Amino acid sequence: MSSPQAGTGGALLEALRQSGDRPPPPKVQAEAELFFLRIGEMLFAFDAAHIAEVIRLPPITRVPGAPNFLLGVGAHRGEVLPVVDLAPLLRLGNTAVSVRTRAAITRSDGIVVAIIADQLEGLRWFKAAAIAPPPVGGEGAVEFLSGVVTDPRGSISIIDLPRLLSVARAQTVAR
Amino acid sequence: MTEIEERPIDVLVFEAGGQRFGADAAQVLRVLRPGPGEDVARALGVDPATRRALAVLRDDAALSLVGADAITGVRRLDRSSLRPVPPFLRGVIQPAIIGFAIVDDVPIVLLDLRRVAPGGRPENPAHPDPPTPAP
Repeated sequence: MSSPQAGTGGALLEALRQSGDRPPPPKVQAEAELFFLRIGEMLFAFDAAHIAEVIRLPPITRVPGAPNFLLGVGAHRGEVLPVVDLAPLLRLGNTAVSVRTRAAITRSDGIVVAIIADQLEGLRWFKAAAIAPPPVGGEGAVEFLSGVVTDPRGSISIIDLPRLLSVARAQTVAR
Repeated sequence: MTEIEERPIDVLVFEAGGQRFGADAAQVLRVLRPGPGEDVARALGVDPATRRALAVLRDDAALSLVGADAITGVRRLDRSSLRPVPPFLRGVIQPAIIGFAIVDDVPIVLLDLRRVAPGGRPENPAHPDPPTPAP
């Protein structure tokens, strides 16, 4: 052994010390976890990394003068949670709220909101290769899509949730 | 280091438009009952059909009235129940909304009555620097 620390166990210590500085190996995105939801008869999905938890919709306090996509605010674990209806953001009407309505708490870019839709279906795994690029052009939801995936029910649009929320917010602030 | 104020705060809880609101009780000089004989309310532009009116001194020292359907009362709230406007809503909701109080697990909209009052300033330091969303 040529190391000056040979026989002392120092090489292992040194390697361990340096391991903290070594960048992690690149992740191979072999699979994508998506969160599925339904608005009317249409299925959508978004990156499950944004999901924190799914809860029963708490009592909602309306916020006067709020944009139509903001259902109101609710309290969850001592914090005030904006509750966003995805349907008007995708130009698909409004979600009918009932006692069965659930809300998905999402976190992205430091923003926490709860989103509602007609039905929150849950998580599913797909091979990353199964995700196709979004269609080009078009109106409505198309501009907020990050991809399309196919399952036995047909083609499912994948929403770029942070972008959708960011644009909705920016348009409201600019009013 | 700034000392954190721990004393409870008195919040006037009232109803308007079928909804509950709260405001710093110290902002309300008096609660009036407008009616046909209440010239002061009419002169200040409050609909005589309004069941209550909160007399508020605006920032410019002018007296103004804010209509309400009912006064629930003054609640002494722990400051720990108060929440600022969440980041997503800053700049999105009206500037008179300065935050929320969580009472019995339900948020109450807190208003700055001086900004609700006719002629009140629209700016609101409770919504500082709305973050610019990423393009």
